Amino acid sequence: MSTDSETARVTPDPAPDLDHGRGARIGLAVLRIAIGALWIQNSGWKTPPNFGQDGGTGLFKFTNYAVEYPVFPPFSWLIENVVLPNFTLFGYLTLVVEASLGAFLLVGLATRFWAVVGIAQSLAITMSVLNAPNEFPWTYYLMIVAHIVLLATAAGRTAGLDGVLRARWQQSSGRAAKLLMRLS
Amino acid sequence: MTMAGSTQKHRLQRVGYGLSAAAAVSIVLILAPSNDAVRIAKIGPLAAVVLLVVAVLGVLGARTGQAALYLAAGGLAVAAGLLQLVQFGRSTNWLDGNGSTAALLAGLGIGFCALWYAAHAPRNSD
Repeated sequence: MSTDSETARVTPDPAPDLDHGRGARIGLAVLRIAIGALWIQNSGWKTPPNFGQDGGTGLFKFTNYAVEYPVFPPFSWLIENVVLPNFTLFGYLTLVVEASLGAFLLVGLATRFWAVVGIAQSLAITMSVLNAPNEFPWTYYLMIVAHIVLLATAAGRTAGLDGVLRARWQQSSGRAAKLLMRLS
Repeated sequence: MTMAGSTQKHRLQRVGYGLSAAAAVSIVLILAPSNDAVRIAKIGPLAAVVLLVVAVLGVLGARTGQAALYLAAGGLAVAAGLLQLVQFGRSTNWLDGNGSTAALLAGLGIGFCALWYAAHAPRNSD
């Protein structure tokens, strides 16, 4: 018969001080849904087919800030020489990525994957507008940090579809299921 | 059905009600002024009708456990989201929305289709 101290040695709690209670789960779900709402609302002003290119407004204006007010010179070069000459394509790409971020984070499906996409997109936005006039830098820092929290906590498993579907994926031997286990 | 199967069914039902509630609550956005601070998604009259039908189908699916109702709700939302994505920024815009409308509908559609998959796919422990 094992003693309590032996059991504790076999199954150590890696983070005994973390709160896994109802309040923590509700807080994570609220964060994920709020970040989803952020991207949903952001999809609203990326207007095809020219995305503000004609009047120097909208997405074109903010993308152009990366060149007018450089933050990271290699990124500014990329925007000037690759993105702006092919702006319609990049406009649609931005719209689809941000709408997908909103859709998937809202329902909590493949949340860790979309959290990584969110970090990348937040970084791109940060490097575009950080030095522009009247911008509040912590807006963009907090966007990055919020996605890091969603990634680190696998937030879709709390009140999200990841939490419901992982049981199915775990029992499946298919490649897609194994991949989704990692992405959720 | 095993206890695990029963728990899973209960979880699917809860998510079904949750998604239906999200669709229903989104209809309120039709009243939001055209102010970016409060309007998370642009909802026009036809989009509100679509959201209402999606919510009703979702609630019926959760109540009866009929996976086909989740598929109907998801299919309708995805179709409306794709229509919005295609018509957004053009002179013809039946749902009178924008990218935010498409993203919201896509999220609900993906959610209900995933629920249909979860309720429909075979489970070894059942």
